[in-house]
Amino acid sequence: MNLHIGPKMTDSNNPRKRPRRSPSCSSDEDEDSAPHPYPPEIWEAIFRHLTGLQLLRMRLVCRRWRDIVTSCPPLMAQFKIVLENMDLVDEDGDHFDNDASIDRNFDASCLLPVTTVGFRDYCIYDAIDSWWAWFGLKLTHITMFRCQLELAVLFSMLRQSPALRSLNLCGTLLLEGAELNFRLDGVEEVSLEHVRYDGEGELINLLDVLGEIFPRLKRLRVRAIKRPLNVGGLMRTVRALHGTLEGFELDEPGAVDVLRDLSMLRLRSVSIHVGPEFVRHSMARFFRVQPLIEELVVYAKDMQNEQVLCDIGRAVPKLRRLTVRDVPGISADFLNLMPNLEWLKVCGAYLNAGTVVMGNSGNPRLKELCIKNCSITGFMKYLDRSPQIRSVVLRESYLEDVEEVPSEAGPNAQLRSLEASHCSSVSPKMLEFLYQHYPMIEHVTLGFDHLYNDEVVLMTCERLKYLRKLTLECSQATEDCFKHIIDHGHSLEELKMTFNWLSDEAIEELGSTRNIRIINSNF
Amino acid sequence: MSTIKLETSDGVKFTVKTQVAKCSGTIRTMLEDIGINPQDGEAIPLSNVHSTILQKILVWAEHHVDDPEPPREDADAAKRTDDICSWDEDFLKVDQRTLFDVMLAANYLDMKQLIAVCCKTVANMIKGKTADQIRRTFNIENDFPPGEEDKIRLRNQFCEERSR
Repeated sequence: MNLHIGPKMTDSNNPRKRPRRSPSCSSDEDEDSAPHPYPPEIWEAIFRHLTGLQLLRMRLVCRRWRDIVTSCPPLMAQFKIVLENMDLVDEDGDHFDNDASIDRNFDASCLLPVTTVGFRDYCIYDAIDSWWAWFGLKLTHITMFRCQLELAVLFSMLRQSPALRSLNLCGTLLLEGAELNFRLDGVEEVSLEHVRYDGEGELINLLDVLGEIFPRLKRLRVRAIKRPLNVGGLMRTVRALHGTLEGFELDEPGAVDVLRDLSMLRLRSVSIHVGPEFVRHSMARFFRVQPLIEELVVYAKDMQNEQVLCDIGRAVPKLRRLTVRDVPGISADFLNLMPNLEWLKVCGAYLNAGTVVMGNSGNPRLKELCIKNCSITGFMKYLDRSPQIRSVVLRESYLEDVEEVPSEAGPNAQLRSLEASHCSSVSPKMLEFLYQHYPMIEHVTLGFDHLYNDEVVLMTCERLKYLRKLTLECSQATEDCFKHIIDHGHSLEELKMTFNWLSDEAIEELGSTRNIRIINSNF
Repeated sequence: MSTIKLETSDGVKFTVKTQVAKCSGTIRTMLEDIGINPQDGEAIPLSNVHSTILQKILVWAEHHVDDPEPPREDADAAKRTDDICSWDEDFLKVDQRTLFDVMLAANYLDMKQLIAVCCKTVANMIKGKTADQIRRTFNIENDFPPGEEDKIRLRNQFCEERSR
């Protein structure tokens, strides 16, 4: 089973022998002998205080608890199913392992009827209809990452997902054509990123028929489509969706010119390219016509200077979410003109890291920060000036002045999640400082650096009393760190180690000592 | 100071300050909306609550009577279970049966803060425990047919926590 559809995962409790009940009292209606006659509402109320990972294991206690969790939609909403094929290596997704497929032989009885599903690195074949018919019924969110399937299969899955609200295809290859004979009025959000087509003859471009399949779309995101993009057709779709569309992201420079003419749209979210041709006064007019905008994706590859970002800050004072892509070298003073910002993502261009000087900037309402492919100066001071921050993600980034010890301020209790991947400047010493300053962190992801070893695991467990999830990707940590987890990781609920070889004995020992979900995958 | 009378399921009558009794949404509704007049001297029947439990709940209500209205908790804050004040912690150091009876009565009386603190106390008894340990804690029988537990374990493997 594991080999076929997923990474090696071990829930901590080993199946053990237990007294068998006679068949006569194993029917589901038999509640009389229940030793805990409290009404299900009481347990529901209690279970609401548990995290998703804890809740999942409540289903193992008895049939009644299993049914309470499964029949309570707010509790079930905490779960999603992720079908992840860990056998793949190829980044392009071109060469799929023959076994890495989801088809009629897939054992769907292992799936809980949840509302959110994600596929990762799979070929999906037409014969899934048999189980998708019941599984798709409740689904509201579908994500496919680096998958491969015929358009007809995708359409068939969509047709059988009547409750669907959101579809997200990333790095996915769509094959052949398909007949268009359905529509889904409930879908509000579609994101297509790095989606490619391959096939002969008549080929329906999904982009051309989006408006027909999803006539009530609210948010549309189209990025990095390799096949020549029919911008004109896409803009016709946007026009046709004017009654519902609130958000539109497209990584084509011409898009905003078309949007400018569509004054009937009431946009909350939009992408813009700030190239040399970007005229400041027409931008100001655009933002006047679209007063509801609170989210922007800025493509900054050809940005002449950051003055244009300052202008945006002044023109859109309500801005709550900002993504700056392909950022060149900038000073981040513009952030001070965005006092309502809650969410910020800054990405340098691939193989061409951006440089960001944080200066005196800070965002008092910022909750989430993600920095990718950038070299940052003044990072710690920026964090200090953003006291509401709950999540920090650093990927392939370099912190220039990590030696600076910031903050006369005391510990900050807001930050819950910290990720540092491919960030050699986030040294163990710096981690230790961060843990001291942010003692309430619950989720730590560390990866792709030789500095993260068993000692770092020990320090992480010691410092972070509330640590629930620890993810170690391609780190130097070994199974020797398990003893630190047993001794110090008292709140730990999930340990994920990828690119690490761990012995079955060690996993079993950790699992039988502590109630921890262990996910271990080797490529 | 105005008082009202409450009568429990076992026929015991309590004379309670109106303000304290109004910690219960159920009693508040009776007094304010249905217009039961506390001056009449007639006791409000609480047919689902035993006197020993009401006694306990009134101690809690007396202590918390002046608490400000709690802020609306977001789902994330509700997950915190380490924020029980020490007075409540001591108050709920009772046997399991009493704890659940208090919770059931608080549910009947519509006392949201008391329910929350009881729920958090029980959640703390659950956290970190294996299924077997939980069964022992709550005296629950493992009633799964053979093989079913493994099936659930397998199903759990494909589930992840949904981020907000």
